Amino acid sequence: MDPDEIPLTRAIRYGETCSREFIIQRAVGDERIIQANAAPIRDALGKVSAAIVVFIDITESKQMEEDLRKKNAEIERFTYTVSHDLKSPLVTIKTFLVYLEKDLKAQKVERAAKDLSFIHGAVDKMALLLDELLELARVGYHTTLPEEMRLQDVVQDAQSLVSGQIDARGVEVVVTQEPVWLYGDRPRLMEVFQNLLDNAVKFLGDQPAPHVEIGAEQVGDELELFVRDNGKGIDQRYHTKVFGLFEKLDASAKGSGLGLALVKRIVELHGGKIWVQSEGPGQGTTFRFTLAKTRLRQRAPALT
Amino acid sequence: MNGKPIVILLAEDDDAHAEIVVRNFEDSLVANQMFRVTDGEEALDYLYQRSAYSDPASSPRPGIILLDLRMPKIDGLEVLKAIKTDPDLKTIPVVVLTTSKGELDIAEAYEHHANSYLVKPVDFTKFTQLLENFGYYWLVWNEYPHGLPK
Repeated sequence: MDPDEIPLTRAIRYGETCSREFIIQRAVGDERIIQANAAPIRDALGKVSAAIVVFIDITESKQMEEDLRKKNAEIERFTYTVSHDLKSPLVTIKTFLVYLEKDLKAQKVERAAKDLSFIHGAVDKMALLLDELLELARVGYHTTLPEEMRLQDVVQDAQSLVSGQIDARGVEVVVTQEPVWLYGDRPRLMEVFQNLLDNAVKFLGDQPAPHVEIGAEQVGDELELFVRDNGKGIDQRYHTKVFGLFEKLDASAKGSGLGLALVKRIVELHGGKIWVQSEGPGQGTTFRFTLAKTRLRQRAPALT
Repeated sequence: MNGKPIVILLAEDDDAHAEIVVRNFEDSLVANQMFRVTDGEEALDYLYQRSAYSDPASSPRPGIILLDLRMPKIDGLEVLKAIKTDPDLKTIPVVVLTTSKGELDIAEAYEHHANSYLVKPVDFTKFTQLLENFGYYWLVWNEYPHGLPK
């Protein structure tokens, strides 16, 4: 390194107050970002006689800065997507209102009815979008205190909310009997299973014996939770896209495309990650995710 | 100009917006034939004459493509990229028609050689005007490479 790049040298040679950042490789193997701040010390005549240098490990604050930058970019993207998705039904409403006027004047009753149905559709779309947006915004705030809960109990609550669809399609839902304990915001974790179940049931395709399995698997030192179905499957190309805001793989499917984005958000807020596995169309889909503090336990938790 | 109607491929996932375009072209005096696909994957299937679109008689090669950007499965920009990097398809003019006025979308669309970029206006008169102008420009005045597509 050029000596002039070293703060201590600059302080002594040029009498400057100087700050630089360095990346150092530690013996234990990890990298740290160090900030070196140097200042000259002058004698009674004002001549530089010494310098003082302070090293600060700023790795964590750098990381936080980076996280903040990512969050900001995410918010920007989010605002952009939302405004776009709200504008689209607005175009429909404005245009078909004029068509409606014209068709009523011309006494074209059938076309007027069609115009109205497009307007209704757009209004419903906007309402759904707003509901889900509010839901997504609420997820950021912890409204309930985190608690420990049995996987089976949460899944049961979720299942009862989608029982209509499950029964209508004759889906067999199997939940592991293992003593899996989750920790977190119970209503939110319930939503994760609700959305994943709803998603599984929605995309069963023409599977004659639909089946959804919920369980946990120890992989390395992490306990992975999974929701596996034998439905339509998801093409490899869309495995990341499914979690995007307003992304829908099937334009005709109900919903605004926020369900899985919501699931991802909740999982991440619980210190976990989520991904999808599918061998492709017709091969079924498995959503796998982790949550911090999930564990297998043989006995009920001891009170502390 | 040619007596044959120009084939327009409309790639649009929103039924209502597709209906607006279709109604405008039905009322138009310019001869045209419109085919609609509802997502990016279908658009590529159509263009490559795959699966449901393998019969050139019922799925003729389009003279021009009207492309929405935000679509399920394969994004409009991906479709555009595929068209413009294909030696056979790249000569087909692609006009982006979207609600997005985002600078990034516009820049990326031109980056991938979009031939024009139109934003759907939230105003009936303007939207109708835009589609009418589109019709005149692309279906009446514009000359196409090697006459009209086979």
